[in-house]
Amino acid sequence: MKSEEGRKSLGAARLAWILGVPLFLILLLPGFALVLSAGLSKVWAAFLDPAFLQAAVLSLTSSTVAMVLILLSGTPLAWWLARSPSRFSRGVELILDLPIILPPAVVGIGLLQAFGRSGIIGDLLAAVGLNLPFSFMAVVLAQVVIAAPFFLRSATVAFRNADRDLEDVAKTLGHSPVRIFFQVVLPLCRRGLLAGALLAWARALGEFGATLLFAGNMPGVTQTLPLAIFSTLERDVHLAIAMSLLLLALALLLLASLRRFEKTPAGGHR
Amino acid sequence: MNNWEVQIECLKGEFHLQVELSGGSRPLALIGANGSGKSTILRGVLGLENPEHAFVRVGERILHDSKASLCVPVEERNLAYLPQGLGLFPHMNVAENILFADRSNTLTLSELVDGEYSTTVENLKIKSLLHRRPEELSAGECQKVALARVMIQKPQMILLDEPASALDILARREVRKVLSEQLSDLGIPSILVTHDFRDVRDLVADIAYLKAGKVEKAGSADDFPGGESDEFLVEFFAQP
Repeated sequence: MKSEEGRKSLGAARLAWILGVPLFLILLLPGFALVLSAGLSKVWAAFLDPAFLQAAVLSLTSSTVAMVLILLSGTPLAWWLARSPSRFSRGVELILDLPIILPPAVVGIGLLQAFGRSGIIGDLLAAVGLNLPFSFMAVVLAQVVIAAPFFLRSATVAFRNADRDLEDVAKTLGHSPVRIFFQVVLPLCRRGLLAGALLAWARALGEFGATLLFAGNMPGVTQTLPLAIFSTLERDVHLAIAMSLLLLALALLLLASLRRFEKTPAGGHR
Repeated sequence: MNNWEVQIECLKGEFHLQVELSGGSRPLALIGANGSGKSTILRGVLGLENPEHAFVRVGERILHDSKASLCVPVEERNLAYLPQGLGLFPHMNVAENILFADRSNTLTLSELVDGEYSTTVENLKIKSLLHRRPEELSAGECQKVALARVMIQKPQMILLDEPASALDILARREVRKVLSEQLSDLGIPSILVTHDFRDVRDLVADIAYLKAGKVEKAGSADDFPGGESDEFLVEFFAQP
């Protein structure tokens, strides 16, 4: 009886796999094609290309600044979203998800209308000498808006699922809310927060549409890697392919290093 | 004079909880069907919930007196809480879990092993466990660690909310054994929410039976199983 059931579910697993293969191939092929079509010498040339290096540095710095902003302000916001029972917070949660479903270009136009010279707080910013559009900060801002919802979602779920009994115990032991947050809540939610941060960082690195509209495509100022690849495509297709491959490698490296960091027992394994 | 007294009244929609409890040094077991208000009482005493009316006195200290608008916050009540699963922190090892009970954050591992608390560690036989994580411990060992933490905290009262209810019967027996051996030695009053008659028997606890937010019957275990007609009590004491 038991082995028969086992066989049945094995058959179901096989069928599911066969049905899933088309999607698997579609997802895999682009990356594979990049590896195949880029010659090794071209990859080396791309790596040494000043435009690539400049864009890579810009991508890394802007996404790092974006991540710091997202983590510093997003962590408390996610905690509030998870803990506030009010209907107001439910509404806020819904609105914060908007950038996930909006086309990035629309987000870019929205950013211009908000922070641009003719935007609703553009005059205010100009009065204090801030001109955001087409600047480095515009790149950061576009990445924050596009990437933050991914972190917020993951972090909110993590805070919501944390064992409240443990927080209560920490309170009865006489600890302050701040100490409880840093020594109990954060470590307990570590995995969810890290996963969210990883997703957000990857999304920030790949940001294109909102950056192009709000920050432009100026080498050395606002040209991030995806934009550099887009520009290079016009002058040298093979160089663009090689650059794409390097971006792919960078993303994989990020993924692997954070995965490894996640598994270290020192930070608590569960 | 009793060691502690608790009066709690609270309204949650249709549910109306109104109880007066008091006790000496013997543990008090709160029994009753789910939703009879057992956990609400514990949380009220701990200060984790704020009932409409409450009077809580432990020893000479009044922790809550709503008539006098006095309500000591949870952090300052110095009561120990052992929830389901005993409340050990999974991201800390045993030593870190125990040292976390030291509010001043000055106690060190070496002091725990060689200093004032060495007998605690020795009596509980947890010295070899100090560097392990809770997930690597048996149920009885977890209970010992939780009690070691209580001893560092030096609370005025211990509140246990079905600490072993998620465990299988053998692990439960292990936990019960540790509790009955240690709890009376501590000499700290305690309230225990339980669904298991064997807890009451082995801890020699007094009993308060709650039904729909009221204390239906209270007394020592000997007062209880005599000619009950209440279905819950018959079933409770029929447990082997």
